[in-house]
Amino acid sequence: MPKCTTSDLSGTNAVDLGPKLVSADRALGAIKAGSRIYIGTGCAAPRGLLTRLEAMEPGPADLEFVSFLTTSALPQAGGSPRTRFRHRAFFVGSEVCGLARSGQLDYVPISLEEIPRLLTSGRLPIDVALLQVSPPDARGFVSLGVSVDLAPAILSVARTVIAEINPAMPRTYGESFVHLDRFDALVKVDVPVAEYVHPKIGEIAERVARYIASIIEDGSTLQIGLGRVPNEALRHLTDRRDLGIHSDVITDGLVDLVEAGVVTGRRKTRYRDRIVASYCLGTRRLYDFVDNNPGLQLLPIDQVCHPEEVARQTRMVSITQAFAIDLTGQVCVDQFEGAFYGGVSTQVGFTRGAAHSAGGKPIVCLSSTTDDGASRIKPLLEAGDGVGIARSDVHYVITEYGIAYLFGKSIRERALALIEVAHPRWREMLLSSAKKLGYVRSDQYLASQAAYPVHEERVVTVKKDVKIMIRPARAGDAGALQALFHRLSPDDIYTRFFRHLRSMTYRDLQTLCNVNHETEVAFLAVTGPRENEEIVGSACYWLNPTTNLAEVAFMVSPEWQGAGVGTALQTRLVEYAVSRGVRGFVAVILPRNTSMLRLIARAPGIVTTSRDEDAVHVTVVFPASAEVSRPSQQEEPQFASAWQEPKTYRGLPPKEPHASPQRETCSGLALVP
Amino acid sequence: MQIREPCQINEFKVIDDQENEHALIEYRNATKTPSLKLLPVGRSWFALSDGTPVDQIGDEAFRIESSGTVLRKPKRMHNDLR
Repeated sequence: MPKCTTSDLSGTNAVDLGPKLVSADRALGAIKAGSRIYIGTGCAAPRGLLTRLEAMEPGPADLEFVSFLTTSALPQAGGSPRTRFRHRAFFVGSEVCGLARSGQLDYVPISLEEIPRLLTSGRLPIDVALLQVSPPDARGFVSLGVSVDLAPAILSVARTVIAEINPAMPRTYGESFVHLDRFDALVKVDVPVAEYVHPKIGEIAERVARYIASIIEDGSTLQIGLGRVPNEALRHLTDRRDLGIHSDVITDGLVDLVEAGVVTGRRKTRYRDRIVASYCLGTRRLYDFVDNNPGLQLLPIDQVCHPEEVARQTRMVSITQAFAIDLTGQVCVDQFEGAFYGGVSTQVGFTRGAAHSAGGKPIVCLSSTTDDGASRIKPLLEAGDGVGIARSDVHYVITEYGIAYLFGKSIRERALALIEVAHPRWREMLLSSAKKLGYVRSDQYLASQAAYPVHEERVVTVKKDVKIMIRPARAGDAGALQALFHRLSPDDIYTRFFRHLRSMTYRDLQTLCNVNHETEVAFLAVTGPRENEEIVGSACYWLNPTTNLAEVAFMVSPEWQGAGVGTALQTRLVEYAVSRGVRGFVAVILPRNTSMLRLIARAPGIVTTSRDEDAVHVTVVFPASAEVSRPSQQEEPQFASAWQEPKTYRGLPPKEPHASPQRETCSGLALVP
Repeated sequence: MQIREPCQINEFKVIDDQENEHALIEYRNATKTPSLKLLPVGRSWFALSDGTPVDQIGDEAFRIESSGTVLRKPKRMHNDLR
């Protein structure tokens, strides 16, 4: 056999590979019948060796291949993988899902970070490892290239290790280096590393992606996963700053963010300034980016994905794409309608880790319907739908219709929140089913079958440069609205409802938040992050179709009275009404509620008043060509940038230091000079 | 069509001659607006919390019809929410 050195492969740093460098046939000839063979992950699968092994006549019998994820690894015939061996996989990707259906592939549901323990404990003995690596350096170390993930654990247990040495394989940093001593046979190849391109996504998935991006704050550290939607979300993060990456996998989308200066890792609390991942799945562009890049650390899967490690990052955001979810929040990720697809993968670890991270956000995303129009939000998961993420672990659920936050919420609250992000076509069915299951009250209704109008959300600045969000109300806001009610003083309540009220009935709460957004309109002023909003103000109108005038009413939390919340709510309400052709507002106000009288007097248009024994009746008719100015302090809608709640003022409401005694004593309705 | 019906619109404490406290409830016929405000019509009438009818005999004075007991709003406790 001619002597070969690595200079033949890379042209530099010649290292004598000695007798380990052999032909594929000779390397594979050492494999005995009945062996269990590990295949390198994803784009690092040794495709030449696999093709040769499948073609050997007679080859070793009864082989079992073990893999985490294969993509273009197996020989193809007629668009399907052609293999005569059995497979055991931790993830059912598109390449092997046909094998799963035919029974040739055994799926092992397991969190990836647990696999090294499975291997080293001897419960899954590995006879042979087939890998693809970079050429060695001058000291004889090859790089595991684009896939480290399970390889260190495999290398610690496999009896025989055979690798393709490919000069096209990037040299990556981290725990990627393995000395030539560890290999039993090396086979020279010189082929492009397999590439993976995420299929293009449609308009619905893009809307989901935009919602995801909208809650990712500056300084967050991201785990993206393999899903198309999470990867699309990367494209909507170009205006963020100092993002970090701590992810099982990185894809091409990352390169754009690094080149744009968005991903710096500067605010990471572990592996600061470094991108941390376990494997790469992308195109040559990604491979060139990771090649000899000390800013990237590829680490073993259990080091990257263990929940405790994930939780050490602050503002950790994990994004999991799901197949379906039931109304209690159980998430289906690896078996849908009877078929196994995908896997548990790292989703449980990252979901739990992100949940325990300070400021972390575990996100589950899915389109609201399947390609054939069935709802992915189901009353109950069905036979053949597997639960991958427990309901107790679920926090954010995002569809193209909005964001539901479930953590710590009751079954009733979860069901309502999920119905509100379901496809409008399925909401009535879901509500009806939820009633039958006893998840929601029998008198629960949904005034609007339309999508939650996220485009009507506004971030506005009130006094003292404090930002609040003014958004349309939802049926699920009843609880938070009740909390606002109970913060009101008895006098606030009297001036708002013209009676003494100790509590609000559920029905009345629904009147104030469960609206159709057309003839019944309700906006809320909220502070705090989405998962923990506090309602500080409420403004509603109800349209009288005969007069085309709408009755308005406001509530503002005592701590926020005098801060401009009432003005901001009224401005938004007027803007909304004018855009829908409403002629004007009417209000009934107690005579001593001067603050409310002053507020409504500032509404644009002609104001007329009349008074009876008990109340002042105010009518505001908007100008004919109502050019209602949008509030000058208005900022971009929610989609345009992340709603980054200024936490500094939470709990420190900006009450006016010299509030007038009048306002102090009769401030039932919102008001502010 | 708006429905006018008797509504509890207020509740406050009153005391009798022995300084015993009673909860007095004010009712009026009222219509409820879409915004959940009660628009009262006509005069108020009163009853104790157990339903015993009470007459108003002055701005701050009341009398239990059945017993003739006079009730008044305690001074410094002007808790009528209006």
